[in-house]
Amino acid sequence: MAALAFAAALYGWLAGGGSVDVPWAPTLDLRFAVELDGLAVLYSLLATGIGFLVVVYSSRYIPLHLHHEHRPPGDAVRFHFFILMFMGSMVGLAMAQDLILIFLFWDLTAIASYYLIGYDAHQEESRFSALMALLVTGIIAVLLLIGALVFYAAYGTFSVPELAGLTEPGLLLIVAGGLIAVAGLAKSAQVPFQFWLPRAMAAPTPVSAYLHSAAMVAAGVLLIGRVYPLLQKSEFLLGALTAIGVGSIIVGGLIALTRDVLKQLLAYSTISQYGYVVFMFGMGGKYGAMGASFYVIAHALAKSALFLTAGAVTEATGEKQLSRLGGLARPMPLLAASSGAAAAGLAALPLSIGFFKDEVLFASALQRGPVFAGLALMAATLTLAYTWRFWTGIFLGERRGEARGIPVALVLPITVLGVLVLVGGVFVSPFEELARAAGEVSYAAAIEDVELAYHLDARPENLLALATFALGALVVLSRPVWGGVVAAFARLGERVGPERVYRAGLKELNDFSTWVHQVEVRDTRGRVAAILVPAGILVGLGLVATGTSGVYRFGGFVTEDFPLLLALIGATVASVATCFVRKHVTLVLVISAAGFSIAVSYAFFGAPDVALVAVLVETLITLILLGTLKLIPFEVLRRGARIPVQYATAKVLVAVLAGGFMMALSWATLSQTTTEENAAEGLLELTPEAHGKDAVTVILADFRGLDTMGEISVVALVLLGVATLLWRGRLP
Amino acid sequence: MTGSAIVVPIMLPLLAATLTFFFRRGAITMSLLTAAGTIAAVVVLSLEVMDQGPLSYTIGGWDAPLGIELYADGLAAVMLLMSAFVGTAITVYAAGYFSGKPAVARHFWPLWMFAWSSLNVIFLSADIFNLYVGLELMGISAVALLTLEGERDALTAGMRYLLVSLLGSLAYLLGVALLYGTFGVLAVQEIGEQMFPSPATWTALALVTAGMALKTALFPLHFWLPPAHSSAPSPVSALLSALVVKGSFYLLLRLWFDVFPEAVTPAAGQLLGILGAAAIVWGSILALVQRRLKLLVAYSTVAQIGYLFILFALLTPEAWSGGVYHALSHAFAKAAMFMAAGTLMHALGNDDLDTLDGSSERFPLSVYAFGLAGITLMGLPFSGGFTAKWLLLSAALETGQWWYVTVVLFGGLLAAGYLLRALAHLLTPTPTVKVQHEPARGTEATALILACVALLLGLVSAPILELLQVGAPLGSMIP
Repeated sequence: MAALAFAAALYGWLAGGGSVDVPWAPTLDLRFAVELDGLAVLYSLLATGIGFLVVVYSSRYIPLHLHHEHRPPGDAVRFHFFILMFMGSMVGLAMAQDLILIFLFWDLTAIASYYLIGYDAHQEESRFSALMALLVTGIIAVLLLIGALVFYAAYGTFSVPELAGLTEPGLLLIVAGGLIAVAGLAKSAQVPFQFWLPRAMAAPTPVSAYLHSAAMVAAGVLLIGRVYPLLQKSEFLLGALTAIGVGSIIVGGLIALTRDVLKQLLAYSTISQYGYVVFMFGMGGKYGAMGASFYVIAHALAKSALFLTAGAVTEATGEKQLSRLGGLARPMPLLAASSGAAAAGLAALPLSIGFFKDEVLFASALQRGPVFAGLALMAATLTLAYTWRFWTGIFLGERRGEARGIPVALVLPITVLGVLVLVGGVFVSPFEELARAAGEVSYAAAIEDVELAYHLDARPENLLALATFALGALVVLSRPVWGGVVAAFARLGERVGPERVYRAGLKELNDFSTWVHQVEVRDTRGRVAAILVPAGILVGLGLVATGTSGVYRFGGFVTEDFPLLLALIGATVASVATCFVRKHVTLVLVISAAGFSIAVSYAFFGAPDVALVAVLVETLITLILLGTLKLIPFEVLRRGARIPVQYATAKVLVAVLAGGFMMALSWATLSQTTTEENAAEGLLELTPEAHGKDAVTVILADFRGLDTMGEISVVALVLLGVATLLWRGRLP
Repeated sequence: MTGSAIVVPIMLPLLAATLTFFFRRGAITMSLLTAAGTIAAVVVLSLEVMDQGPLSYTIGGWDAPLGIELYADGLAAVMLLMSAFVGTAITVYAAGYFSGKPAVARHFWPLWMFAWSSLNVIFLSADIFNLYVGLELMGISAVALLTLEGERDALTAGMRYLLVSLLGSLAYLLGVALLYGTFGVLAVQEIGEQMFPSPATWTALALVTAGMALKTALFPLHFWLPPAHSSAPSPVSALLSALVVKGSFYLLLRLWFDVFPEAVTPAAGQLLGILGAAAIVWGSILALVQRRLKLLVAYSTVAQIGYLFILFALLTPEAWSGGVYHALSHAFAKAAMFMAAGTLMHALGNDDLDTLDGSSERFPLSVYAFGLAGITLMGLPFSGGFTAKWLLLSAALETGQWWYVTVVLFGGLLAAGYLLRALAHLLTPTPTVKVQHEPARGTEATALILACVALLLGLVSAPILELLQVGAPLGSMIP
């Protein structure tokens, strides 16, 4: 399947590419725009080609791995599902022309990588690493979305090519472009986001190989290459890219020199290698754009081969550490030769594709001046040194243990990659064309006069290459001198590096949410204040928000109102009294006194029917409450009555707050007399038409029949609910 | 034809409620027929609304000032579609879930039909008192459903829910009384036409808003929701989180834009928006620490409700559509989530996250449903949640209120955080998964289908958004 996809991508390139642009959600201005341009071809070929080799490799590796881990062989299916999903989303990402679509595929790759890194999900370490990779790249991906939104807000489109034509240098471009670039840098594990990548080595080896060379990490520089037409308009962004690239080269390269675990060494080397790519993007120009793309190809071929080598070696010997390996060239000549070719490619020896990657690196650096050339020289030296260490550590020197035979399928893919590296060293033109096409997309202009070839003269690029070899040899030989310093640097990184920030951040978030939980569950839930305070404040704020130009008026007082006033005072006194009463029976009596006083006030308001109902309800409630009290043992009640009131001041405050706002509300409302006529007259007029004798009947049965039916349903429901509660399933 | 289509979603479940109470044997069959009938009627109604614009129907032929009017515009149609489809799924799920508990099922069916009918009353009624009746019916049936199995936690939570629900309805009723006192009519449209700012209308607005905020569990009035939604039987949890909170939200939306537009000030809208933003953060952070799956999902509801209220602060056609669309996609996703969680809880004995380790091996469909629904809640592209958040985001940018952009995106991240935490447990392989009960037939598939619909809402959003524009209060967002 992967092979088919590879063939399709290759065909697509040769056929001259194509594009699809269909509206996805037209109402939202979102389009499904993909195009197979140079950049897309490059990354699609990498994703499918290396993907194919990785799948071949893992067809043997994964069953062995599962066997070691005591897992059922059926789990292999999951691996293949996710790696194909990964491949698919990578191809999608490569072709996407629309920032939102890029975001979508971006997240898909993050999800697929989560499952792949956490493939050994029974191991705590593995789950932790997978989550870290997902969180770092996922959280940062939001920056991509924000950047996209800012562009959209300013220019009204998400299409990268359209934006390239519209944007102008300025603060907006720096902010939005910077956000997108940061997302890309985090995915490519550049400083200071590099810490997730070495962790991600918890993944099975083929996953690491794929992740590093062609998929996850490459996606970061793919994004930068995609939006490069925007980024290159800002000198500031280019400068920042250069600085980050250099930082990553140094940090990755130095730490790689100290690592003992094979995959860790390679992981730091990846950080450093993508640092080059970012560095070249930062230096800009046509060399930079094309060189970055070429570098990605060369690195992908070499690095995937080296990772697969690490996996094969571990499979054969059971060892994961450089210090416990050595002398494997004799028992495994094919593996040694293949990975030797790949290592030569990474270290940029002549006759390998790597030589040209350093050639463009030097060329683009020279274009910018001697300082950059010096940096490039140093970077190349570091690469040479750690690659040498990796390869010689495994294959040369003394043998330290037995090596089992390993299946051919674990070696062949490495051989294919090694051969490709060498072929690229001789016939560079296909790779060159690929990189040129991709570089043209990034550079947004034709790149014509960059030629990759061997020149047997003393041009500066060649001199720099020679210097690299010499310095590299020096570094390798003088290891005892600098070993301690570099190890100290690596330890310092562990002590104060960004990984600490990540861990501390997670811990803080956990603690904070525990604290919030405490506040909610322990302190507020179950208290009446939890409703009264927010409701009081909300209503008060509502009043303030709507303006309090409403007048507070005092009405006149006539002597006929005197009984009414008396009833209201009675209700108030009874309500206040409830705060002081401690005995239950007295409490019930005081509450009902308040209720009856209110019922009396209804009567004086001219609503005797309502008053009658209120009296009935109050009587019922009093009886029910007293009846309930009768069921509780007297001793319990007496004990309950003796418990002193807690937080009395707070309770008074709450009550006054809520009550005060309600009073303000009622006062404001009642200050306005209503003058509108209501529908009562219409009701009376229409009564005969409804064949009813009086208005109330007609209202209940005809005009508002639905309400009546609803209220009947409410009564039925209450009965049903109470029945459910009482029976609790005890009756059949 | 118009008449019957608009009345059916109310009358059919009401009829079924009565019938299922008396005839226990055919309860499931009757409920499924009701579901089918409701779907058919709602689809017909939606097509008519799409075709002819907003429809109204006067019950018994008595016109608005006196009688009660039913009114269906795009918003009502979308909400009806939501309740019809999610309701059908709940019916199917419950048929399986309660298959081993005939005594509980006996009370479940009539109560659920009442609840369904009340939801549809709320979505269709254009009369503020009739809306109160619907609200009361919904609240009481929800409480009764919650306490159905009579477990201790559920009873405590149910009692609190009952009080909160009554308090909310009471506040609403007071608001209605004030409006009736001021305008002398109860019809939504007529009050809206006569509305003028005055202390009485402000008070009514404040009371109605506070009451509905309490019933919708808007931060800081949300404390009752997590225990209630998590301790209910799982089909009921799905119903409460997916539909019932949407009922009171819908009411607020209706009144705010159809009754009170003249009285509302931008500051009041901002207040709701800020509370919504606070809800997103608060609910998500609380969801992060939960040790029980259903509680986690319930806290996520608190957070997701926050998104709904942001539209009150943004006040553009996009924001309005985005908020409603969020209500819709959240209904499908959350119902799926509670159903999946319920299946796992039933099968493994409890819903402690540690107990659920490795459930993906035994119940891949449920875990898959949970994950897919999670995609919508996180708002990843190609999901209903993304479309909704997208609309809210672009509205926030358009009105220059960029801080809502931050909150919405940050909320998505936090959602990813708490959902991944749960998923990590579900996906962690463990050698011993002790299955106590096999899940009932159809329960797993129902959850999965709902989750897929939630995703599908992101792929095919145009027709629904178009329907939503019919009679939209802020004008159409489609030029």
